[in-house]
Amino acid sequence: MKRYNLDLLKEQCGDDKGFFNEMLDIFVRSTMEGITEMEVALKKNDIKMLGHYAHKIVSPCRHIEAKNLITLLKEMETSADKNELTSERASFLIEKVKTEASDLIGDLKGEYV
Amino acid sequence: MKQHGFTICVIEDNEWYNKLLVHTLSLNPDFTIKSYLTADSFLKDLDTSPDLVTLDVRLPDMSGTELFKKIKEHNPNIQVIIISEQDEIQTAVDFLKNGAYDYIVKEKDIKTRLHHSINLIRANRQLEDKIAVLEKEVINKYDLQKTIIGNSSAVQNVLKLVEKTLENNITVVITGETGTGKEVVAKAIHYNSIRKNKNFIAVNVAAIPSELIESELFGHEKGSFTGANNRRIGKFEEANGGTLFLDEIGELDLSLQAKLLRALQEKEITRIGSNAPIKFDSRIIVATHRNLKEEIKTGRFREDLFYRLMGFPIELPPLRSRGQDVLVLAKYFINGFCKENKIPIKTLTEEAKNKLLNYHYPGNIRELKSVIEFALVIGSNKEIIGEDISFISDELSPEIVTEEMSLREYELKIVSSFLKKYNNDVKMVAEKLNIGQATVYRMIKELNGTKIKAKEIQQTGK
Repeated sequence: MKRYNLDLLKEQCGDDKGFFNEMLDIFVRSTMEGITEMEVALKKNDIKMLGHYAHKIVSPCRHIEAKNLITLLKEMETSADKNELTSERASFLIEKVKTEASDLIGDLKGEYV
Repeated sequence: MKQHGFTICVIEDNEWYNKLLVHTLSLNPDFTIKSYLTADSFLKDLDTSPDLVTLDVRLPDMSGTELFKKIKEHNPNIQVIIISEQDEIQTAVDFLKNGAYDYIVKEKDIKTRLHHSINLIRANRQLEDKIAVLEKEVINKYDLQKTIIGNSSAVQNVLKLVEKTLENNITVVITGETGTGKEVVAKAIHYNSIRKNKNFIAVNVAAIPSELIESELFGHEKGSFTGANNRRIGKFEEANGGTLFLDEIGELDLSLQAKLLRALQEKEITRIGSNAPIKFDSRIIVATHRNLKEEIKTGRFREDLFYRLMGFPIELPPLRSRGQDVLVLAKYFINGFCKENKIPIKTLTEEAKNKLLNYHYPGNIRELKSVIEFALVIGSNKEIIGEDISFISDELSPEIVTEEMSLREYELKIVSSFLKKYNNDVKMVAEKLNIGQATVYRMIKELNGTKIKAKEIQQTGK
């Protein structure tokens, strides 16, 4: 089963292949940057900021229907907002996000680059 | 109407979504799109006052709520659409309550919803621009010098009196014969007064059946009487903040005079079927062709209401006493009619001028307007000649004056005859006789109260 669905993005980009590729680049870069930011926040034990970065990444994931990533990021965001996210759980979730994101980006690159 | 592009500021810290929104919106060539990743960078540009802001709820340097507040404080006319990852009803309600135009969740249909909202905003903006232009036109149309036309001392005196009423809320009573322009003067007062940006509501008391007038003035609640299927606000509420013009106030039933007096004294009205009083703040202008002092003597008008209304009296002179104003007005009507109908402007020959100046105008300015329009249509010369000028009184049957009757009785007889002829079509009768519909209604009332009615019905009904 595919980890993503780019139909909506393709529809919005229309014939503009350049824009489509640019959006994929942004997705890859911003997701990786976001994960790094989450790791930094966790090191600082700044759970609120960690939740903020999870929120930031989740929108593009929703757009391309990256369901596994959405589930992990939403858990981080929601429990961080409620002050219920422990460092242990955060660390576990970040690792899962890294693995899932890495697989997804790999699939993307395999299909489009 | 103002023709301009449409500037949209996209404030979105997520680079992906920012790009996507900018791309989607840029597809419309009418839009100028500006992109911001932080609240701070946008605030530096706030003075440029965009037409629309799309605002992400969560920003790194400031909450969406706080930035929204700042935008609205700076310029409440900037429309804001909230774009949110969160589908939280309470957050959406709070934003919409505080003036956000829409709250859109980042989902599949965002493009459609966004364009739909923007189209509505643009349509509203165009309507607002149009209204502003029309309001300006109305105010220009009722410019005192353009509305109250004439050089006679009587009219100049009216103009001076009108000017005295503009900076205050004093109740104005306009008296004068039918066709002297009482409503025109009322409008001129309103559109030059401090209330000019609010409603001018005119009610012709004589033209509304007595059983409906209370509801018309004060409104009613649903189910308050048979046929009251919905709540309806009355003219007092419609005119709130503006001016309420009560034309032919002398025709108001005594029972309603008491209610009107109470409303004016308490500055509040109560809708029919309700117990809750509603405060109003309207300037009141009334008009009548009757001598209200005489009406008090005969018991047809309440003395206390008379004194409550008698704030600032303005009496409009009959046209026959205004001398050369007849020609000034005639020229005004010629220009207006020719411009409206896109025909070359005609002038009056000396003979036509003399004919106009030597007539007594029982229908006053309204009659003169009709005479001029008729002359412009009927005449085939470059000028309006004497023959083109035709007065209704010229067409009266000669035998009518052989009977010994008062002038009023003659008038009633004529109206009665026309009502019969045109199957009681008041509008038609008013048009044919060059008088107002209110006058016809008034005369019907009078006919109902006199034996003439019975006599006429018998005669004309044969």
